[in-house]
Amino acid sequence: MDRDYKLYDAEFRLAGIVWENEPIRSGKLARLCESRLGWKRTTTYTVLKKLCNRKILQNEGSLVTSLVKRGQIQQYESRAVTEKSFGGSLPQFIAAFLEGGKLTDKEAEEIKSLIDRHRGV
Amino acid sequence: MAAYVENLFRITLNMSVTACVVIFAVVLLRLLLKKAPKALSFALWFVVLFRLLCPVSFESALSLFGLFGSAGSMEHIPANIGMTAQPQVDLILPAVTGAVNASLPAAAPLKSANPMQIILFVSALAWALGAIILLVYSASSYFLLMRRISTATLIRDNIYQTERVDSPFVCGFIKPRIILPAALEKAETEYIILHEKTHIRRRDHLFKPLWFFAACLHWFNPFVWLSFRLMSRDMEMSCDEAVIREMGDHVRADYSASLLALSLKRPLLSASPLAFGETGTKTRVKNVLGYKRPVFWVIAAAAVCVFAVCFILVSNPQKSFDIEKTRTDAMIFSTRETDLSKIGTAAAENYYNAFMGRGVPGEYRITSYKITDSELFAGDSSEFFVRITSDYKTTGPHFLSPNGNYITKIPNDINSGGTCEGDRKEFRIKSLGNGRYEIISVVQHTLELTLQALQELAEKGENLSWEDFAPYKGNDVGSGLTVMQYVIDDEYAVLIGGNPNEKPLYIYLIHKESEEKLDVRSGSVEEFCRLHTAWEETVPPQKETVCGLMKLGKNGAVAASIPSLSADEKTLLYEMIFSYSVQSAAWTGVDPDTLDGCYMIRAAYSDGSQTDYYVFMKDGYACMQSGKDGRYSRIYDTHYQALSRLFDFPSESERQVEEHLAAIMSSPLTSSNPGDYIKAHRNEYETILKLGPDALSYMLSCFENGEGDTLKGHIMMLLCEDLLGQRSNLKGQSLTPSEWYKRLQIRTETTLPDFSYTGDDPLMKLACETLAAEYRSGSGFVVVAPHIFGGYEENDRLKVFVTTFYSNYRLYGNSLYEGSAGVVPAAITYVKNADGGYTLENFTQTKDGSYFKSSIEEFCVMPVSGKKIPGLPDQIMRHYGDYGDIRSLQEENLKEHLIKNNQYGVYSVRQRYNQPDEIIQQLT
Repeated sequence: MDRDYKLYDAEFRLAGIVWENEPIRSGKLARLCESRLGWKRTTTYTVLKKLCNRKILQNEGSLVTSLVKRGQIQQYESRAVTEKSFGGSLPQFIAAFLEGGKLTDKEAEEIKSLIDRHRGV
Repeated sequence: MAAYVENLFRITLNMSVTACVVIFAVVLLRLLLKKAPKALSFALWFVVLFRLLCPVSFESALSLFGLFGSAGSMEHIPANIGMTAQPQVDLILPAVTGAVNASLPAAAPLKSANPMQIILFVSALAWALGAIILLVYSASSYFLLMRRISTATLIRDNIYQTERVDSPFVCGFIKPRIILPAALEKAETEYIILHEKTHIRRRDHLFKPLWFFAACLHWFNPFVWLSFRLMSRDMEMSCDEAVIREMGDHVRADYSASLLALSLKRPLLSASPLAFGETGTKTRVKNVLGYKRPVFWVIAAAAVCVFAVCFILVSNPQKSFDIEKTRTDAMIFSTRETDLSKIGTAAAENYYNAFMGRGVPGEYRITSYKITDSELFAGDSSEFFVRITSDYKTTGPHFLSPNGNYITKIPNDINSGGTCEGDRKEFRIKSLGNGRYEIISVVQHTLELTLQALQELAEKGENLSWEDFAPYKGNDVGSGLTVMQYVIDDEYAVLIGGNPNEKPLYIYLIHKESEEKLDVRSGSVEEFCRLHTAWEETVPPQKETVCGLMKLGKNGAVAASIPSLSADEKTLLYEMIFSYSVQSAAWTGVDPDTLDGCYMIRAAYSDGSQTDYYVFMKDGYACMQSGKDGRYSRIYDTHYQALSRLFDFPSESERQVEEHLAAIMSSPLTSSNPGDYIKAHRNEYETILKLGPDALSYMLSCFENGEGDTLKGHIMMLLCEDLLGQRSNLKGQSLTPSEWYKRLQIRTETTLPDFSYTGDDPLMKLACETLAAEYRSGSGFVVVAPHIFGGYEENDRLKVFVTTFYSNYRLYGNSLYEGSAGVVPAAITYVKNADGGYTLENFTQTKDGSYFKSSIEEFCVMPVSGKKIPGLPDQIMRHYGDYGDIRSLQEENLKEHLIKNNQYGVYSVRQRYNQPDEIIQQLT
């Protein structure tokens, strides 16, 4: 099976709750997610649907069970996935004006030495 | 809608300009506060935000804007800039203001829209569009972000974590959440959470979006964006400092490292959410590393300074006191009173109150007042005059009228203010309905001294003082000594001399012509005046109601009267009575019955009496007199003209002409030919003609008053031509009405007697006399040329047989027109009188047509016996076939007649239909 069982953190958390409590009514799952993850019901259902589509979980007659077990899944490493992040929430020229551009390596180096010098003191 | 946007734009522009000044001040202050806690710098930005979002502020004498001499309002761009001839803005710095004003386009009066208006409109639209785009864009980014973080998982409290972001921030407004990226080291997390919690505690999560909203509104202003950037930095740095303060100085290095780590991970970040390692990493790191816990009193001192500065920057300068505006504000008031004099009291209270209070500069300020009397003296509930007597104290010169009765605080220094007692002001009040009233005018009542008033004053005898004369209009004519002069009726004057602080040295009544004088304290004014002028007493008018207006002819005959007066007409009459009553009636009255004409205003007073005011022209001046035997004053010409216009209604015939003309012009409308209109309304046309000379003179006056080449002008021209007939020198010419009227000369008809025979033949003389009387038709004159065949006598009868060439004429100017004419045989029978004269008994003419010959045969008989006269009918018939002799005789007689009546240069003229007349020959 070459299927990609890598899951994002949020998906992994939801799957985790299913594994712990399966079989579980989707209504109860939503309530659990609300208390444990701070999610809205709609968020739970959106993520659930996504995992069902990937055949990791299944939801039949509003009873949720897992198709793939915990051992087969690995979580994505946390890394920068936010290339598109919300950097675009302002037109680039305004953002550039406000922030003075991205931190360059040289600047980062300077700051680093500032901190190191302070530590040395 | 466009006006609404324009107005918003103008308000925003004004706020932007104001904010710019505050921004510069804040930026300068930040430099001074470099070493101070950043919370102080951050606090300053509240002021900027306030200025960016709030168009109004409180006023304070300490305002920064007071330095620039701003005129109170923070209106840099006036509201009417789109409408003014030369638009002007006030951009605080004179150099900038000058440059901008020079570049503003002036109004171009000939264009339909003012260029400034267009500029304003277009930029308002651009502004609104830009702001909307920015706000919509930001709002949608915010909702995208919310969706992205919907799967963030709860860690504890309000702290969530998600791998879908990579820098920590606060989001949400009411229940703010801290969102952390997934991968964070334990140590970092603690700093970050503390930092974000500080943001939430300080409500930064509300403040920053608000700031961003302001920046979007002011998107056209780069200084606002600069401020936003600096503000964000100050916000973060003060937050950093709060964290260090809480966690201790030792975390400074680690905290800085976290800042660096996060800013390295992250690409450009948004402006809206509050993010941890967000702005100006290097500056922040330096700030964190260099942070020292400040000493308490330094913070306290700095905080006080910042607070003071905020106050200076937030407040607007005090408005300068605007006397005109205050006066305008004082003019509208409401009261439930219905009694007119009480309404007057309310008006005066409202008026004085406007000048009381701290805001009013000393020059105008009234400190206390008391209204002692309110007297209605003219008008009705819609508009009326009330005379208010009051005492008041004031701190400056404004309310110390130069002729008022006042005592200054510092002697002779009007600027020191003082007390006014018995001040009289006349309020003219107009009802606006629903208990609201407007004061139309407030007139300082300065009386002109009259002999009556002087006589009353003189009763005080030795106690008569300077103050007694204060209410009257007078002037100081003295040098060294004070000598006040009060003129009475041109004939007299009162001179009071001495030191104003002491008893007057003298109070003289002087008769100007004789230069005789009397000290009124010891002598009798009445006696003195009797010697010099007719002394009479007039009763001063009380409140009145105008109840009639008439136009009088000679001997008081009523020429016209206006039975019911409109409100406007009443107002005019009240004004006239009012302005008459405030003048001294200077001239001895005239008897209105001796005048050729005058107007009479009848006023009824509350005590049941009536006064008739006569208005007339005398020696070229409009005058008004109270009663038949009263005195008169000159009044305004405008009043007189307005009064006489009230009687200018059109006469009946003028009204009819206008009515019928209107009917004629009403159709067919499709035609431009006046003839078509007349054809369609023949009856109306004829009706106007029937009005005759009245219609003619009215229509000619219309042309005189400028009626031109209109349809009405054309129709009136045709009417006039028809009415003028031969009197018009332009008959039948095709001219435009204006050209026609310019060249029109109305000829008058010369009436001449009928032709009379001047020769010696008695029979001829007798015949001519009879024939002229017989053949004369209509007006004009007749000339006859008879051929006598013979006179037959029988008993006392004389029968003359004659064939006559006769012609009627009318002479207009030098044009002679021929009227009815003919060649007719006839038999005339006379009775011979006892005195030898003859009386006409019978006049028989030939009959027409087939009876012509037989009728001649019939009358060719003897007068008594009736015997036929043989050969005579043939003779008459033969002559009738060739009457050249009487034709030329007729011409001779005409010429002779004209010369006899001194008519030279006369042409005989033939009129032609619709064509100019034809000149046939010169007769004399």
